[in-house]
Amino acid sequence: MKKENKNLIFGGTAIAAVIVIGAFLFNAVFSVIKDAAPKVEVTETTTIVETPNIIKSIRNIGQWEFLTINDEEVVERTHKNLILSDDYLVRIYYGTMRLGIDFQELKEKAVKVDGDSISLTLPPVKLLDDDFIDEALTKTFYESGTWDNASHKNMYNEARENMMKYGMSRENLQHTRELAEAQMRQLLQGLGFKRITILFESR
Amino acid sequence: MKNYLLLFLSFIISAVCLFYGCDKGQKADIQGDSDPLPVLTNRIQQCSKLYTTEYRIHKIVLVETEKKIESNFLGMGFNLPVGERKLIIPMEATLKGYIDFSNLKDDDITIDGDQVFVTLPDPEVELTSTRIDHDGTKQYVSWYLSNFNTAEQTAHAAKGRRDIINKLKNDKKQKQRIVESARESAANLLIPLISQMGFEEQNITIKFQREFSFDHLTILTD
Repeated sequence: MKKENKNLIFGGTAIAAVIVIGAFLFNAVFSVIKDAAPKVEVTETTTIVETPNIIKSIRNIGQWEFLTINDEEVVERTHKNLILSDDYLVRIYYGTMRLGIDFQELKEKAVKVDGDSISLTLPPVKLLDDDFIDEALTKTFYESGTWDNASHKNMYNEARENMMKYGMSRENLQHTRELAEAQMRQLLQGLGFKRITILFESR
Repeated sequence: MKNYLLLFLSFIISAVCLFYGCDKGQKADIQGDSDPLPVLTNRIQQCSKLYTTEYRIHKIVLVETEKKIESNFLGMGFNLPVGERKLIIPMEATLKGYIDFSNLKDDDITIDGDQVFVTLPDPEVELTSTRIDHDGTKQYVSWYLSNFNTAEQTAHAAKGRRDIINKLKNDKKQKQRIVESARESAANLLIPLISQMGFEEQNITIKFQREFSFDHLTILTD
């Protein structure tokens, strides 16, 4: 190897070493200055004001639930922007649909007894609650841009509609009727009836 | 020649690692803290629950945040308020008291002559839904601060939901009211039904297995 090349490599290595050592010193001095300088920071304190639970209504109900359907729905919205990037909002809603019978709809002549025979005509199987989403459990999975209350309301309605499509299928309603019949039969057998007929009112 | 080149490169690489390595590590940690993607599952379950009483509870979630500039300039600490944000979320929760008939055993219904004795399982209480009043949700924010975004509103609504449950758990009077109304309502529903089956109302006895405990409060998809 030529002497000139050797000198070049030595020189390069020396310069690199000087750069690294210099950077170390700069970092050390900077951190000392940073610690000594007055600290200015913006803080945010959040207070949740204590409010009472106000009981709006208490009512007696007679809803017998036979099938529970837990559902989770992802709902998304996009706002197209002309210049800046689009806004997105993706939320996950949680709901529980309860299918069963409302005994308050039981007709006066729904029960017919003849010795150890009984005939029971039950009200139609239905969704027991119109409000079945636990909205306070909703998760915001992705958010960019600003979104107003109307968007939130609209997304809730879409989630509810999707859940209804999934939960209120013909199969689920039929399955609920079968479960209701089995449960009622067991109860009536317990009360000593031997011949049991269970019917459902048509809608 | 090769050795010198390796030495030179190792200097550069170690210098890069020393100055940038820590920052990269912090970023990785922060990413690690973020919520994982919730697993979406749909479940269909058989059950036999007789809901006998329904409570609707109205709750207003009030949130106040205050932004301050804090400094310790020349040894003198000071706080300078720079603005505030306020959020109001009205919401409604529905709770229902129920008897779980899937826990009913054969010997819980006994017939002795013309007397019927029904022993029901303990009542339970479940939070069946919550709904936020979006039209009534308001926020008041200093003009130079950012509004509460959807994620913040969601987090505060969840705290409101937890507060509803905690308040009910700690309020003995309200617990008692729910228990009594669940029991009364169950009896009012079952006695006429059984009497239609040929038994005299005065011969029907409905009792409960043991004292109800509100600690059994079950919460949906928590």
